[in-house]
Amino acid sequence: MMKMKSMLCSVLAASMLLGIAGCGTKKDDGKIKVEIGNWAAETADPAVIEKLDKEVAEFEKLHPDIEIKGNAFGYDTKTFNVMASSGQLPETLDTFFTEMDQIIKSGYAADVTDALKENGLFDQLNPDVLEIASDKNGRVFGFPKEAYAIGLVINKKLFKEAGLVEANGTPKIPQTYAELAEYSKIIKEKTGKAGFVLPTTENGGGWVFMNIAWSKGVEFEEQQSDGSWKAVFDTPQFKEAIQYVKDMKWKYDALPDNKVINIEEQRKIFGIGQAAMTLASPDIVNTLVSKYGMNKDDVYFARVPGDSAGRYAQMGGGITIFSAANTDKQHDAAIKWLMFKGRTPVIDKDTEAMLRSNFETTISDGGVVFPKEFFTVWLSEERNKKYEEIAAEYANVDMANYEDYAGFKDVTLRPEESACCQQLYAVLDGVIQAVITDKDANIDSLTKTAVNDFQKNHLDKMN
Amino acid sequence: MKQFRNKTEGLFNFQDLKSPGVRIAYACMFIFLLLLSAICLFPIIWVFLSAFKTPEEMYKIPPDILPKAFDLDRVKTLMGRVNFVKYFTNTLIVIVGCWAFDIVFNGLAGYVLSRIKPKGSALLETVIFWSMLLPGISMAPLYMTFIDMPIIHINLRGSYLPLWLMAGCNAFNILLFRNFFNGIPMDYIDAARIDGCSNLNVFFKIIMPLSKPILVVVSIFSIIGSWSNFMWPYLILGSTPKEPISVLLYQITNGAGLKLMDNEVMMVTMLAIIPPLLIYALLSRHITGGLNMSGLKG
Amino acid sequence: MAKASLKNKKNINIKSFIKKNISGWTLILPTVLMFVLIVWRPIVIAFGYSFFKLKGFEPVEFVGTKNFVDVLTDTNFLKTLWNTVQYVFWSLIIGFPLPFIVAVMINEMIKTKGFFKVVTYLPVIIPGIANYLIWKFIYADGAGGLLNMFRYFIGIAPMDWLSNTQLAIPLIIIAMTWQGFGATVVIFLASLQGVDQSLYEAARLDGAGVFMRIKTVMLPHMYGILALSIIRQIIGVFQVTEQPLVMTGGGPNGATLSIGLTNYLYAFKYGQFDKSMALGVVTFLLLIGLTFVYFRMDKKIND
Repeated sequence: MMKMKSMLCSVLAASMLLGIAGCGTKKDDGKIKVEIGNWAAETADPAVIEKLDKEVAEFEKLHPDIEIKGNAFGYDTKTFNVMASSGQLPETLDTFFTEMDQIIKSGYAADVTDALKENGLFDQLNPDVLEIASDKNGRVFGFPKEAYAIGLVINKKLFKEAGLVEANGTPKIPQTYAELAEYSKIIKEKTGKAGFVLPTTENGGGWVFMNIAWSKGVEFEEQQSDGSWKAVFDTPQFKEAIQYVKDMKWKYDALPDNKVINIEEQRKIFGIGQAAMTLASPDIVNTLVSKYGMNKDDVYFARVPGDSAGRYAQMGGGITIFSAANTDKQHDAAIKWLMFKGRTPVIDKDTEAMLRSNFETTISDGGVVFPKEFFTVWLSEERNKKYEEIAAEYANVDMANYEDYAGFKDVTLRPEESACCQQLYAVLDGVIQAVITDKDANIDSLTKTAVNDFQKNHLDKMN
Repeated sequence: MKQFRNKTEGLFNFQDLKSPGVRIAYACMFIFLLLLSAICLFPIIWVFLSAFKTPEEMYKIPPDILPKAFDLDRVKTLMGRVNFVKYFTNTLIVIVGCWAFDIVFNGLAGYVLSRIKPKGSALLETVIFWSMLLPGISMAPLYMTFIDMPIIHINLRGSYLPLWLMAGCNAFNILLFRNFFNGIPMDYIDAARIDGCSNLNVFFKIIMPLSKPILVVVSIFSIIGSWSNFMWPYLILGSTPKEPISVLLYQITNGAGLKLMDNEVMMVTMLAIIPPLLIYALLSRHITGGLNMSGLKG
Repeated sequence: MAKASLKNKKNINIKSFIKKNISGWTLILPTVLMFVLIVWRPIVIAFGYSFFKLKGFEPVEFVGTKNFVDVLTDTNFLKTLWNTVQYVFWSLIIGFPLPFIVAVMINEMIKTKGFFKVVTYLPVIIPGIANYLIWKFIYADGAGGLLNMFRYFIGIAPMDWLSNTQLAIPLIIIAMTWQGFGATVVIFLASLQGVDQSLYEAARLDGAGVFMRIKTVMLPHMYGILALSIIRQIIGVFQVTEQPLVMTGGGPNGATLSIGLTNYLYAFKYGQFDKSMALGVVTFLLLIGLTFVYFRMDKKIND
């Protein structure tokens, strides 16, 4: 009897302690403690972790008042609000341009305008990019990292198998969306693989669909003279764009069997060679190669195809945000760390060493290094030239595979829609899902519902 | 056929079974149950088969039922990528803590309501009974409670305590305990009281040892419940070093962090269900038998 | 003498009164605190906060019924409500009768009773999330899915399962039933074993057939447990959240979006905790009616 009791009591006591231990008090030694997100996971290559530890030690020697700690948490729309609302975001977190609007509104990202200015970064960053990270009053809520534009990714191997090759060995690039559909059909017939993979869920569908829609002349929203917004996509152009997606499924049989595809799934399907084309930006190449084992020489990047209204490519990018739960001192310390890691407007000796070390890590991780940045967030020509010089030494991709993309010939680069962008994507996801799962989906009524939903649920409730 | 003669219990007995119609119906029932058992088993078997397929095999047309090879090296590689020991340890801490809170606090409450009955406990009993059937009201306010505990203002996200606290106030289990304790003869308790035992001592020394059947029942409910629980562990422990295995399973499917192929997802699933399967294989008779005990009939 | 003993008795009474009340309440206090913290207080908070605009969890402005109006006039609200009703409907069609029928059948088995019990309980011990993952693969589109594999072997083309708006909800319910029915079977079996055998005997002598025996003997005995489980099932399934979250994410085109999932998305995807609480209050009020129904029924049975 006593055994039972004492056992229960000790389990209870031990468990209480364990539970409380999780929220133990932090000792204060006067140092500015900074938790850096997107850190290497504990399962990462030990060499990578060792290198990071060394860098931290070096940095802390330079800045004895700062203490750096890593946190493997990475941005994820599913967990961001859970972490943020509980005040547990790491001090820095890498996210995407497309999320900034919502993050700024939620108040979870800190205003780092002053910190950027004090560190001499503000005037050196491209104002167009900074605007994406700014609110109405021009305050900046993030440190832009990189920018990119959507292109058409091609699996060269599948194109070869399908016989879609030019005389000089490059893949036959679809110049219009009609050609893309046609080629997809050929690929399906010849290889059995999907011609094209389009994300359909978690706002990925809407995000990619924008490129198709713009090139067909669709306008989505319009600001009225009183400042309110109106959804204006109940148009023949929009219906044509949706009809195109529907035809890709039912007429050309171009899409994969799986219909619930988020951005990660899109990369996976393309990376393991289950689809021959997709719309994405070159920042995915690392994932394709190092995570899904795709041969980097099979990846070919082309300009986005065009349609009646021209070629439109959506701009995107990566940006680091800082937790609003922390102090200005911590933001400043975090920015110092990022600068230490090579994100500076001037490439001096230390920065150069760091950049070299970063490239080495990427390569040892099985990733790719490009000899140039397709877009840069920095204004300084000198910095950009210097960057390319260093990058060229480490580059391990054949730039011939990116020639068509890199020129952006005739391509109009477009930033995202201004109002309720993510919600628009969510609504479009629904329409896309409807037309690829239902052969008899009525596009007229779907369009009407989508416009109505977007107007009533989102644009009308903006404030 | 002989055994039918012994059938004296249930809806129909040996006499009914003499009629051919009833016999056919009885055979149909047996076949139905066999099919059902197959349906219960097959998905689990299928996980084991798929786990060993290569990505190409998984999407092969025509499909194969069996993988080409049961390559155990793949299990090893995956275990190198996913720290199973950590996830299982976390899961175990969740389970044991929830179990202890469940048994002690709900048991004590059942005991007080059944045996001590202090003034006002009748009202409390009604309220607790009501709570059992109360619909949940959005997860937001409870989440808010946990990330900023009232009065003490501590953020409990990333600690196991919220999950344990939730296990400590299970109205259904309180009623199970109360019903069971109601059946314990008062004499035992009175005797102990006269010996000068405190109520807490009575509970641990007299009641608990007599309550093995109900302890088994509640323990099974508690362990299976917290083993299976996903939503709150995800909200409270997700993206922290204390993630239990159920949260890991969700994280790998939505591509956060680890990037796994479909066959690897199946293998993680397989490794996650092996321990409960083993435990069940050892204890199944006790588990299903234990659940038969009194306390459930009410 | 008599006086003294009376006084003594009074002392004991006071002592036992204290012992009973103070120690009784002390022992139950931790549990009550947990109930307050985890069950009752959140309800009060949800009712209160749903009338405010929240920034994070800080109420910043009293907005009256605005959150309710926003939630109820959302063009998808009626659709999700209807979806939720469909979840409940299918769970009553598939999920409710199955464990009862299976329990009755298993109870009739002679030697294989134990085996069937063990096997039907097996899915219960698989963690819920693993279940939904497994079923997601079973229902997968194209040749990879188990169901489509079967179709392939009997020579018919693969079809859509979870991507089919008509099928998605019943399929999710099937996965939920697969996981949960074994637990209910065990409870029903325990109840069935409590049926007084002599009543069957008497009914048999009266010439009652099998169905008559079910009606006159078995059902009256099980009425209470059946009523309890049906109400709990309706309340439970009405709040279905994690199953569609994991299996379909609410798609295709919102066809499997339930009220519970909408509520979850409001709170944890969009961070609109005020709307989440308002929707929670609406659901709560819809369901509390059922709780009343149960207590009415319970009282009737007990009387």
